[in-house]
Amino acid sequence: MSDHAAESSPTPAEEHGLAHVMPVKILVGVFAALIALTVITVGSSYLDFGPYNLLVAMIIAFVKGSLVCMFFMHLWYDSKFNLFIFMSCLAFVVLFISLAMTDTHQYHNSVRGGQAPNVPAATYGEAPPAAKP
Amino acid sequence: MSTAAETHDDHHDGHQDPYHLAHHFDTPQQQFDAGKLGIWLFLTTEILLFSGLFCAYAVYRANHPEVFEFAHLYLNKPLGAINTVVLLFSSLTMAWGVRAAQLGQKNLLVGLLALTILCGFGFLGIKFVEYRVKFQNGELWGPHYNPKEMPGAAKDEDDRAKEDRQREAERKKHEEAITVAALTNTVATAPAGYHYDQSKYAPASSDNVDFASISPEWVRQQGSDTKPPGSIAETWHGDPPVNAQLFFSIYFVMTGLHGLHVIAGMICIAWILIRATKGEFGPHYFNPVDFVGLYWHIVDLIWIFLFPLLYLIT
Repeated sequence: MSDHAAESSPTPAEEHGLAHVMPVKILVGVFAALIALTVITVGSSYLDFGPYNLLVAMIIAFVKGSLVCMFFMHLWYDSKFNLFIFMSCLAFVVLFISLAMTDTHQYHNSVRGGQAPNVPAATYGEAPPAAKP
Repeated sequence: MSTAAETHDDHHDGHQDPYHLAHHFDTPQQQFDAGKLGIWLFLTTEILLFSGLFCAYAVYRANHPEVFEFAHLYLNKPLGAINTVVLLFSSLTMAWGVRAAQLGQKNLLVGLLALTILCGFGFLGIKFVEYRVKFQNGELWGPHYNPKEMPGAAKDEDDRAKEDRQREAERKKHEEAITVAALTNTVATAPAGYHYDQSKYAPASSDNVDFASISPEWVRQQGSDTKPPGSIAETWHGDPPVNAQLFFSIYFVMTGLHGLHVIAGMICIAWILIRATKGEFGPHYFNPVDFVGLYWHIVDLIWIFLFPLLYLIT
């Protein structure tokens, strides 16, 4: 326990213990990193990585998001329970989207050719009854 | 030490009690932690709310990638990038503002909060410019989708390139018309049920085609309908895909809901700003600044994912 002169003088809150005070250097450094990653992600959108463009963009977005969460949102220094809540939320998001994606190409047989990938254009001209308008 | 114990234990008696400590909390620390836990729980519901939209995006993009590859070309990539930077900068000023509140730097806090709100206005202003262009050009959701021109025509291109493309399109149209005329002379009747895009599929669907009449020019044109491999096209070659309005439905719902969150965040920051001018925040009480800051960062976080998913499709 610190000296209680701290009670009356405007000392940093870390001494009082309410929360961690973020140094300006880290704040500005994180911001610079975020800008650099933005430039990289925009630049990478002009390059062709074949099927990996989306993956690259998402990895960069995850890095940027982690920087924001850990430093701007103080999660790195916070009670780990807050981090646990946040991570379990993300786990449910992953569960939600990945389960929804499992039947992605299930209905191609009922889709008119050319309106979805992998449905041959040869089905043109004999639109099945179940075809969407 | 004994005086310290008294200051902390006697707060129910009043005179040492910080006025901002609600009576149902024992200590400012407990109040802060409880508030922070609450705001984090709220933020998870926000993420789950947006995850529904991200799920819709994922399902439609997996099933109709051509719609996204085509329609995203209508979006203004530079403006989206500028908006990303504006929002990231506002996150910096907000995080710095929390620091200023923690250190009791009142004037700095007020200035940083004002700057954050200003960035919010900047973001919404740029968004407004983008929306206006889309409304003017009919690049809208569902039945309102009626674009005036192919993507890429109105932006990032000088007039010469635009004219070149128009000339190319006219030439192509002309050649196809000639070829179709030649084919329909040879093929007396189209096969039963055949009613799609004759110029494209006529040769393959007929047994009686006089193959000598198919010009090499026509064959070359068919090949050029797809994007040239190995490069990222900023303009679309060939016919636009059907149901391109799907993209704009998703675009407007996602960016619109995000925009509403920006407005809500700005209102909250304005409230914090007013309280800050009264000098209500200091090392012992900065909870509202921190919690509003967390909300503002989550809005930024969502944009970090929206930007590449909507603007940077390849």
